[in-house]
Amino acid sequence: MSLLLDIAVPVDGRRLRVTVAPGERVAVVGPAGSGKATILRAAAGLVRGIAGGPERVAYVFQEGGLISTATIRANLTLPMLFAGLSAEEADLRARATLDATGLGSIGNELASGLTASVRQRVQLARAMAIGARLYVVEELLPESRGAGWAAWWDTRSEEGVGVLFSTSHRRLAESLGARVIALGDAQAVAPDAGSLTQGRDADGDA
Amino acid sequence: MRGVIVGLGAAVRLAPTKVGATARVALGYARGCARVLRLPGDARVAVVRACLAQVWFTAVQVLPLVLVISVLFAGALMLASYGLLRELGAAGRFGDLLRLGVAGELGPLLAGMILAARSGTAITADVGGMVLRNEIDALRVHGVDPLAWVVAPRLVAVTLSGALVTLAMVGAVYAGCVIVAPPLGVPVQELLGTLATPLGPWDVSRMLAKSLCFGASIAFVTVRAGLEVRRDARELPRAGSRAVVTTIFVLFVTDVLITAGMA
Repeated sequence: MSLLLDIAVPVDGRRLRVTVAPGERVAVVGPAGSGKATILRAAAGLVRGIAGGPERVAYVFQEGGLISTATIRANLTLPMLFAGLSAEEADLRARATLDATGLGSIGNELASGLTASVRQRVQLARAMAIGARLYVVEELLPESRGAGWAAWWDTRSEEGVGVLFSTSHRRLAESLGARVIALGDAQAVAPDAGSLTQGRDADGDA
Repeated sequence: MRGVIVGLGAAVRLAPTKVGATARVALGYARGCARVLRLPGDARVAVVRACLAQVWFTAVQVLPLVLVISVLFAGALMLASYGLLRELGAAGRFGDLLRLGVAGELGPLLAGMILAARSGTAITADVGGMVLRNEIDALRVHGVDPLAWVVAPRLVAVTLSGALVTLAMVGAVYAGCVIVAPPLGVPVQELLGTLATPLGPWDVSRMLAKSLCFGASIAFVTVRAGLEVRRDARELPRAGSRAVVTTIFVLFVTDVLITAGMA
């Protein structure tokens, strides 16, 4: 099975190979400044000189990431319009996706001043709406794994969606059954997580 | 003194590099505008709507301010010059003063400065905020070309707004002269006689050429300043201030170049 993501990222003076297979969940665990953001941004093609993941990649930002002057639904429809869908098709799909993620009632609200968990869920809904094959998620929150979302994640995996996320919640990574790439002094954060070298080995096996 | 000379030397040495970089960015923005034409139909409609929203903010919502400033300016102009021209027996040349001084020079410049101060700072803060809130990166990752969605509407809208606001301002100055004439003791019929010489095609061409160039300059400088914000929100006021100062300098240089070119 071909990989959704296969990149080499310079981290801590070494080149770390990061792979994600279809349906696989990969957690990047490490303290602040250990290179988590670099890996995630590289996966999305946001680091100069590193080709990112597949064409249909979605990025869930920890801060911002939504057009704050547009409505939540418009944030979902805009990428679809640029992908060639008609306004009507894009609107229908956005409404259906927001309903499926429990966000239908706030679709007409501006995407500013949202709580971190709602903002993350809106961005996950956008990822679903545009049919992304790889979700890259900064600091996946426990709320995005909470009630009602377990089945949602399972359905994405069955569809072959790969997920690469960073988190400081070790149990969250475990509950998602994610393969862990541990960075820097990650032992303190995730005592059971693999080392940098183990992460590379695991990648190599993927 | 030595520091000033060293600073000037560095500025001169770096000038070709900066001009080259600016030209490359301008070319990139122009390509971004051209890419709008190749967008799927409804995406193009969305960009046009964004452009119209910018025109509404830049050219329409500013009209009350422009009209008030124009009437005040007309009053000052009448006070400062009409009486003197009358004493010299040259009151009939007041129309030429308006044609050359207001339509040709001050109208486009004043409109440009109003746009730079009001819309230019707003654009830098808006675009810079988008960078800091990861909105530009989000657009890029999800297949929305930031040049087509963020740069092109602002560039086109502010360029057109430059011409619209200038036309409104020049028209309002003419109207303002008529409005303030009676309180200043100038018979309206006499004033209208001096304004009988209409603006010729050459005057209108020069006014439009300047105002369109001014609008494009304001949009280019302020959007670029916003996109170059990198670290945190503390950069935004500095970026806005720097962009407006740069814009005003560019307006005067462009004004001189166009006046010299069309003299």
